Amino acid sequence: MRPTQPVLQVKNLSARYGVMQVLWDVTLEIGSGERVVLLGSNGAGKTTLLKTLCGLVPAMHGTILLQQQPVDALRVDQRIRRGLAFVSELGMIPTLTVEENLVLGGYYLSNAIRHTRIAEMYQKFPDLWRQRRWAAGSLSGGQRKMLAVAKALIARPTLIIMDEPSSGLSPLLVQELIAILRQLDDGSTAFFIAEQNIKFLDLATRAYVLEGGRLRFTGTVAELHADNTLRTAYFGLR
Amino acid sequence: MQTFRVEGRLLRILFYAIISGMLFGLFFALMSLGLNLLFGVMRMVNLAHGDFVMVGAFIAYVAYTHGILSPWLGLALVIVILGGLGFVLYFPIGPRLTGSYDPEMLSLILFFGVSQILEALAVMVFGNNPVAVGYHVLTVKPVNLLGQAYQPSWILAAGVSVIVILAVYGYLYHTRLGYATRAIMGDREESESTGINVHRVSAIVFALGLVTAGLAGVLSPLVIGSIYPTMGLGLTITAFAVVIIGSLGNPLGSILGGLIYGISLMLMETYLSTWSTMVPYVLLLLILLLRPTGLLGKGVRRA
Ligand SMILES: Nc1ncnc2c1ncn2[C@@H]1O[C@H](COP(=O)(O)OP(=O)(O)O)[C@@H](O)[C@H]1O
Ligand SMILES: [Mg+2]
Repeated sequence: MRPTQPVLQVKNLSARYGVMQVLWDVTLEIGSGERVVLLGSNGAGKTTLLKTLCGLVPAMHGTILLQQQPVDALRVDQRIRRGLAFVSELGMIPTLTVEENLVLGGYYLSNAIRHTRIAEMYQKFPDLWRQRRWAAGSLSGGQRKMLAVAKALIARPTLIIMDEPSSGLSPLLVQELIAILRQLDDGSTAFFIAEQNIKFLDLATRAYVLEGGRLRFTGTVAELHADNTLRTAYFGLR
Repeated sequence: MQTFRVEGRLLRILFYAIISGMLFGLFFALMSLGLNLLFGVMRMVNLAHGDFVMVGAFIAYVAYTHGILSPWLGLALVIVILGGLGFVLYFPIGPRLTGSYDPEMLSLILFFGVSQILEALAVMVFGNNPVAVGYHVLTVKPVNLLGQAYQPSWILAAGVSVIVILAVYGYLYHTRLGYATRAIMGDREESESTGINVHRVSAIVFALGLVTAGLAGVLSPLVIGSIYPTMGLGLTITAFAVVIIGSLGNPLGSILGGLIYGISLMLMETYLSTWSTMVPYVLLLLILLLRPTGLLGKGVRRA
């Protein structure tokens, strides 16, 4: 099963910090509206891969196409204006209020559109409305994730890249977050989610597994379940 | 009866010291605001801060020598000249500094050089001697309030300072660009992840920092008298004291620091005038010993 119209195509992407290379020849593709999980243990290079896609870490070599357009030479903010959203592990600016964070999420929209979109988010997440004047850093872990998701959705990106959304959440809140993400499925936004928690596979149709900076597996979630070595590595803990 | 009258007089003097200290302090809040903005957003330690105040003062002086007896033209010129200069100057130096291993130390050295250059240039153009900027308001009769006379020039300087400070606050807390600016102060990398063009915002803040310094320079003849090319160093030290009292990296702290500095200075001038030049240093030491993060600090300096 191959995505029909890719929003993201990555070929032979490598990256390093200083002299230490941490990513080798990663090739992947995300279709429009598709949900893909990037599995990998601590230090596998997930965050580095996501940051390289966004332009936060420079690529050593390789190409990145966003909606068929090369973005290798573009700055982070330019890639984000092209329909990308990045939800880091932190996901928001702790020193700004909830509302100010949402404004930043729609930074490049016109005032009127930003206004309506923020109002929509408050409807979707009433907690955020109640706490709109609070510093984002004072929210609970679960509310922070909602803010991070809402902030990413405001610009209606074609691709949301999320880095370990489960980090810092209790198992119960992870379930809640997964439920929220599933509800958001309207087919117009693709998700690329880096995770260690295999529960997120429930959300996805396809998965990649990253190990030591190289892709170890590419395929559907069903194929991943069928793979014996990976099953012991990732599902043995279940 | 006699003691009553004496106490009344002492109270009036105290009142005078506090009010004039506040007027004075608002000017110093403006004078140091840019130093704080640059540190907060870019972790830049601008040792040339006082020299940009000096540049503003001499811009006003040039306007004055062309027969302009009010500060308004100087204020406008500073916005254009230092604003433009700041925005352009940011790009060759800012990204290099903020991307470096130790921006604080590197910027300290770099701006020390800038300070020397600005001083030398000013000496070349204007000579070594202090010059006066005879704004018309300096000749206006003092204003009476509860039996004490206040200099209209101080009131004007404080008034303009308040307006500029409020404008900077409006920018920081009520505009999208201001949110972005505060986001960078809070978490630079996360701001980039969010899609803020960090260098463009930084360039704007850099320009704003130089402009606020320059505006204080235009007002300085109203508050601190004659101006001279080497006035920058003392002002840089005072600005550091004000900013550290409030807390480094927090622009709100500049206001608090300015007021505390101004009022302490005036109290010293009133009761122990020979000691008053030591005020910034004593305050600086006290704060560093008692509360190193500044009065509003939340460990900004840890970075
Ligand atoms: N800023 C950095 N500088 C140097 N090395 C880093 C940096 N960030 C991550 N690394 C290294 O790169 C490798 C991959 O890290 P990361 O991408 O964070 O993995 P993951 O997100 O999968 O846990 C690790 O070995 C890590 O130590
Ligand atoms: Mg990671």
